[in-house]
Amino acid sequence: MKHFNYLAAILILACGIFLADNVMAAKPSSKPLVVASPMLTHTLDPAGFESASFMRGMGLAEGLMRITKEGKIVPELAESLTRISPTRWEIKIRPHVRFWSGKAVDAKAVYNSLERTRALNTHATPIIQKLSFRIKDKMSLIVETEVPNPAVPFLLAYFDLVIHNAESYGPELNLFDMKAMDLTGMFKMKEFKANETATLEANPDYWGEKPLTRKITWIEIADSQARAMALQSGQVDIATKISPESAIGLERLPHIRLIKRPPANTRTIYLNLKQPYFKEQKVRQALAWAVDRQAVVDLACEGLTRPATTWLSSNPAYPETQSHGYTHYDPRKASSLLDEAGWLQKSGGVRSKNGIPLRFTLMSWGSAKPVAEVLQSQWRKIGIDARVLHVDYGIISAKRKKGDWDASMEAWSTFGDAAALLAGQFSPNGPGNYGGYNNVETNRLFEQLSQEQDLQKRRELILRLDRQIIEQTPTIPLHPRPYLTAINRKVVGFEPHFRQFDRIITPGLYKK
Amino acid sequence: MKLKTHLPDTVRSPMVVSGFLLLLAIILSISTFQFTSDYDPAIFDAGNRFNPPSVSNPLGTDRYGRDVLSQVLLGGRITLATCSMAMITVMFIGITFGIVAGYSGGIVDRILLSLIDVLLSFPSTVLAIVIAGFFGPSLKNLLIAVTCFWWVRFAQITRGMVLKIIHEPDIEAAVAIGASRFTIIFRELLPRVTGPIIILATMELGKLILTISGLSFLGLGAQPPTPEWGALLSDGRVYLTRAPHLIFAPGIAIFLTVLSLNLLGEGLLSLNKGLKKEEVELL
Repeated sequence: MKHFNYLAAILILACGIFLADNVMAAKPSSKPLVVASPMLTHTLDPAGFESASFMRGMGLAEGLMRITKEGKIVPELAESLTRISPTRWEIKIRPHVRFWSGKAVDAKAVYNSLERTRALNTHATPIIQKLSFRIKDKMSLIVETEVPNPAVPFLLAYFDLVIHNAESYGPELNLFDMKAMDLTGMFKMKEFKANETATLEANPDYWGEKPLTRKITWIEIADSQARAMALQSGQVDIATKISPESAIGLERLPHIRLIKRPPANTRTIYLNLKQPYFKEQKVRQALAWAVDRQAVVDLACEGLTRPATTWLSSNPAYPETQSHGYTHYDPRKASSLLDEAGWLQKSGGVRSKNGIPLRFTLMSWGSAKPVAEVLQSQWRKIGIDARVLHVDYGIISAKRKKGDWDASMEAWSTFGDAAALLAGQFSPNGPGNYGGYNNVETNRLFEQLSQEQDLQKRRELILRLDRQIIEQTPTIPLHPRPYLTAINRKVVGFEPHFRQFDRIITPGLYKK
Repeated sequence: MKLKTHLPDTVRSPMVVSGFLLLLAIILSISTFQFTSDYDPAIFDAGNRFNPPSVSNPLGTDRYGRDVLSQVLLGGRITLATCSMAMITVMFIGITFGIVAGYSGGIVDRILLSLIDVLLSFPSTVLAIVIAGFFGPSLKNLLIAVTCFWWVRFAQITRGMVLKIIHEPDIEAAVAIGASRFTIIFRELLPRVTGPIIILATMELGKLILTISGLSFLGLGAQPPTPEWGALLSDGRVYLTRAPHLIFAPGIAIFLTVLSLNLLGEGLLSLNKGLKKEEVELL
């Protein structure tokens, strides 16, 4: 009987602990979260270059629209966005939203914020210049476009476009003045040490679902391996932008969860089409056929991504593009294309034509070095001598400006308005058209696309463009750049987003 | 015992002997590999990634399935060749500047001394990073960057020795009998500064290997697929927990090479019978 009493007491105690644990888990967590990222933010002004996207990820700032983890565009600070004519849209502002300072977020405040961004944020300029705004009434704005543009919701969800209190920041960029910060996010910035830490606390007046975590500390750890080790040791709870090399070690640890959702971007080899050998379409096609993309994914990215057959094929909205372009590895076809083009190989050496060897420099940066090494090895098998130059992005950018380059690698987002994104890469004035691609047929299709308003026909045109571009191969698609987040399993409520920089912090996120 | 007394001093110094034998073993391994292997670092073997050390791969394989021992031996050739070339160049520049400054004296000496002082005031590694960063990463540019500041110590020491030597009676006698500057420099000064400079070079070569490997580790040196030791360390660093052999192999190679050079240099310095006290102090 005495033993039974002991047993009953132990059982009651265990049940009590279990219940308390679960009840506590559903309540706001007093445990602070620690997040490590390679960079906190460029500036504290959301109109500063790329700063808004960092602030969105941290839960500090919001836009009029946002992209959900499923890829849908939904209102955020806007209550609704309605198309009232082909060139006119109406935004209704969500009522009862206030900046951290308590100032109401109304049509005037939103208008001032958008115009300030237009004036100061060079990154958002190409997006926002397509739109003009006017105040309709206290809580509504009208958005107008010069030509019919069905992509207005996408443009308003642009990652570098957030609503801020323009009066607080002033007319000029206010780079590191924390007192000027006045945003709408669920977290407020409490302390900021540039290149070190940012301490955030929950915004008690937040209009939406209140965050379960009260305090978040962001730590800047530039090195991926160091971030991974900080997570492994329990020093941080979430580590963002983990390289595949570091991630593969973390995956084996029982207390770590690796978020591997493939992002919508395509790591691409940009070719300088002014170089004599890259002017030849057959050479470009040969280079693309000679790439074993699965081997690149396995060897250089630890299998944590997938091959991309065309530039657009990483966009989840266009799955049919995965059957276009370079769907398999074909070194024989690559060799025969080079033979046809007159680039001949003697005794297994480097191919040449008129005494000029098929030799070029492939510039890589950041995490792309292993990719460049694998490509170098694969091309070598068919007699192409690619010299790898792994440098800072600034050097690549400067060389491209001077025209002093052959090939370089970069990954651009493929999610959003596909027509605008394709034009950005392959139209003559596109900011991502580094190689100077300019093709009559492609330009005609772009023109046709800009006139077309029917969504189904636009889609067909985009698919035609995708096929047309990959046939010409001005660039070589490789794979979505792996973008990995690793979290401690004690962290609950993390929502993997295909734009991993977007909404890292969500209201339901907390630490057990 | 009798045999020992007949051996030269250098052979009786354990530091010199051990340093020399270790360095010889390293050089022989690297040379033998170069002439017997057709290893190509640009050829990958995806089926053999991250293999631990085994009979077929004594130091394991890397992320591309390449044999780490072959990588380290080939990397050794590149590292040692690069560093030796850099050392010969800095010795040549340093000795030339040192002799010109010390022997000429006057305004030439003051100008060269000022240049030496200016270069010594810069943090040399940072300067090398700036130069290599400016010209872009490559072994050639790294060599230029390192050579730009490394000659200074050689020039400083050579100058110091020349200033002492030129007041010795035999040099003054040579001047008195009308020997040309060329004769004095090449027949009197150069042979006498060469010994200490070689000892200095032996010790400095170790430091140079560490510097070049360090700069390559930072990505300023060899580019893929060239397996330079510092670059191998950098590549292996990200797999520290998964495949530690990737970092240990080049790390141990650097350690043993620098150790052998330091032992040799220190050993030669300790056998200072051939050197005068002030020459040893200069080193």
